[in-house]
Amino acid sequence: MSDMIEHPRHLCALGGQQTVVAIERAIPILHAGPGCGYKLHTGLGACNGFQGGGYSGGAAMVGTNMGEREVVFGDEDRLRSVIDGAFKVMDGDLFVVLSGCTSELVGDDTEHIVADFRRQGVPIVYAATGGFRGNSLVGHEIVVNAIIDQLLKPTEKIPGLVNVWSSVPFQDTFWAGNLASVRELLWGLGLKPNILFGPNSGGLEAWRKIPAAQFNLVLSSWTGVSIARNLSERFGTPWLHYPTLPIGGLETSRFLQTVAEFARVDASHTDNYLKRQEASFHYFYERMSEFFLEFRWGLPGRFVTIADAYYGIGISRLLTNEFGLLPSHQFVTDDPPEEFRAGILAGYSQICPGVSPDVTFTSDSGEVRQSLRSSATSAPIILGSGWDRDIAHELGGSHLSIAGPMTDRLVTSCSYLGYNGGLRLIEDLYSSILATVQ
Amino acid sequence: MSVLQDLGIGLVGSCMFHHDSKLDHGDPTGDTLHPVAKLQARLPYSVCNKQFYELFNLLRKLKPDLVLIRHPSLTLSSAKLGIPAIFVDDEHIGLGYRGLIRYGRLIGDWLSNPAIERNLLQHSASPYTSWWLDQAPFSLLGGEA
Repeated sequence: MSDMIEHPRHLCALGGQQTVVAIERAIPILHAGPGCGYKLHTGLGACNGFQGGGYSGGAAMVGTNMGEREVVFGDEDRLRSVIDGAFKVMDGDLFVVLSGCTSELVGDDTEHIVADFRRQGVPIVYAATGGFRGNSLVGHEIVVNAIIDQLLKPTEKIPGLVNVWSSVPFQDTFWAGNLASVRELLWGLGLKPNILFGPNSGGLEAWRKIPAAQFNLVLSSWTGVSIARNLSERFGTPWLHYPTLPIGGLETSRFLQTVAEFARVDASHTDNYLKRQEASFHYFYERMSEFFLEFRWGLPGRFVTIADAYYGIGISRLLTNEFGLLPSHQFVTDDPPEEFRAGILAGYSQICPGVSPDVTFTSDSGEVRQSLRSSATSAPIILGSGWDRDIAHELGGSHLSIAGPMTDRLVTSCSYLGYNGGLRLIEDLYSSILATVQ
Repeated sequence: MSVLQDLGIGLVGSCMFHHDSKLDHGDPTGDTLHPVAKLQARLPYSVCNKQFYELFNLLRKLKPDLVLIRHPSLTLSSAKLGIPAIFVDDEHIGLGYRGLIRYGRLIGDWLSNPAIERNLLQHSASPYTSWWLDQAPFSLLGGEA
């Protein structure tokens, strides 16, 4: 552990608490030290578009508040009483106990204690999210897999039902809007999306339907793949992995065609749906083109993304293939597991014929800044987190926050996914640029 | 036109919708076009001899690699033909040695990825009838007969 990460963009595995908060009427119970839960709420929720604590998150989550005494003598008794108290005080349908570093290091048998409660018929599961297990995206997968492993039973299949594993709640600032867009698109194909997080997602009842799905859709560069593999082993559910954010006309149509073929949706229905969606997109695209063609002299022509691979590739393809910009250096910040890196690099190298940007995997903002300072690109458009505003300013470039953490935007249902998501990103990006010159 | 030639770009044609030094400056010696045209006899240009629907028709048949346009809101129509189209908002951008390089870089960047033109060609229709587009560009000009 000799490296230091400056300005982190992803936090520790206990950040999986935000995944619980995103499930309707689910209650997180933290078996962790004082401050862990609140800091993770601040980093992944509050200072990330001011998303708020919602029903069961924020500064007053149920927790054991482990201190020195509990580290020395163990804290199993208090965990039992806290869980018992939570059942009396908290009105929830699903309880998830998450362990932090300290409780895991001192060897509390949290798994056993939670299993005892579950045997009494309470919907409660245990997720081992000690910070050393990985970053907060890994924490999300640990929580989801814990619910699957400990609570779900095989059920009869429902034709057309699709579990969606995509934007990670809270960590992807635009998760709620993005998931709503996926729901609309899959509905359009005639499928039944099981969204699982956010408003009208159905809470525990929807989670119990997971084994009934016709297939699992992993719409992300790598997060969610371990979930789909788990469901494949456990319930024999096939899965489709689409690693790029479907944003704009080209990528969204490509995504829908891929899903339609996999799900064996009637081809003429798919064609009709795509034609209507594309017609609407291109109506606005044509009108917007005049701005791009005529402001060309005054606008920056090269862009940098500093984001997770899912957003980075999607946005790079949108700006390059649909708006004629050229990609400068691209930074992938979400520390993808080794097995996915070759695929991610291939995604960038095929952006458009003859155009392959340099790509760096790094979670360290210091490295990003040094690299940008030494590059020859002047006044680039930087699409990154709120951390990147300063370097954009220093280079005389433009900036839009599209990744966490961000404190320069208030985000609720904004979506950067789908046909409209592409238009929305362009509106937001160029509105922010125009605001500096008008 | 001379900057483009300095950059090694061959000129297929050029037209001005308006060029009138006497009306604009009250002085015919302010005519900047005539001396250039006289020096370079083969410079293909015309002044005020066509409507845009004729220019559109002509561009469609000429299929140049690049169109530079200085009239607002006409760039889009040219781009719909799939021809890389640049709106020269600031004509002074090519002044001086540095300007020449800057001008060349902008054109180079634009030509290396004309994505908007590619998408417009595929998805956007022009408002002209197919009958008109099949005619010769100046077939509607009144003749002597």
